[in-house]
Amino acid sequence: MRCSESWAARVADIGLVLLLSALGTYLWRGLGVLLSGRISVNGEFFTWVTCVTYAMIAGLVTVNQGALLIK
Amino acid sequence: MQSAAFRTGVRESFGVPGGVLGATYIGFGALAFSGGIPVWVVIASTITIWALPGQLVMVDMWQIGAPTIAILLAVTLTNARFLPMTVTVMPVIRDRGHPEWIYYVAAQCVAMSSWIICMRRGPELPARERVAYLGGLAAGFIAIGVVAAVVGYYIAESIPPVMQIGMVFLAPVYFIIFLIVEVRTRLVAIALACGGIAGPLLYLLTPQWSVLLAGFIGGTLAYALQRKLGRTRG
Repeated sequence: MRCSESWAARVADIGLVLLLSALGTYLWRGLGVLLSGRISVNGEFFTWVTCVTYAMIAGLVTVNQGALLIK
Repeated sequence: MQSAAFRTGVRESFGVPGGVLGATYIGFGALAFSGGIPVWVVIASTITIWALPGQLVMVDMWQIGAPTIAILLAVTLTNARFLPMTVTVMPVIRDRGHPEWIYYVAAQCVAMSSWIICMRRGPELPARERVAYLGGLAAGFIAIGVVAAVVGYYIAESIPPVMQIGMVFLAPVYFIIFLIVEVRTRLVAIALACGGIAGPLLYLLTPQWSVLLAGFIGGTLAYALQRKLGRTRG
């Protein structure tokens, strides 16, 4: 914990971290909307993106569970 | 019509998935309390980031005093899955009757919970109503998440640390099981299996890149397998 800092400095510090984290997260969502308009749903590329999405979600869960077990 | 679809979404968020999500966010609130995070950050991060793994990374790194830029990069990397998730859900909810900016707002609703449910429920609804449905679903889930996180924050001391961590992992496990049970195509089944197996293997090589690589390598492998199977069956 960063207890030595003043209250205002703490708020500014974590506020900035929060703002940047939110923007960094939205970047992917916004980019997804932008790209989705340019990809044909019936194309092979879309099928590949679908595979990547499901694989990433499954990977996220198994990696987190695995990391939890190691902890 | 739109508000009816929104209400349907809200109503459906208050079911079993919402309950599991609530338990998960109680765990998050408790962990945040233990990490010395102010309660307003718990609330604001749930609304603005709306991605539990990213929120956990932010809280973890902030409490050990990591530099802001390092936290930004780690959170952004952790949430990269939203790019393909948004790309795949947009064709489900897109309708010519709505202006394009609606979808940039709807994108904030994309998270594992609402994505999985919208991918399944969306096609059953009229195209015009899907974006409002997703909005309602996410609004309900976010409200549940915020309330649960605040409750978890204030009852943190009565939840043992092991249980706090256990609760945080309830929702991902629930939603992946939901996904497996509901799986309708061979493509999705193969992709889930490939990613799920690739993830922990890649974690041994490179923990921070394992999820992204599991997506790319596992997903590409699944795509190739699907093509091969498709050909053999003519």
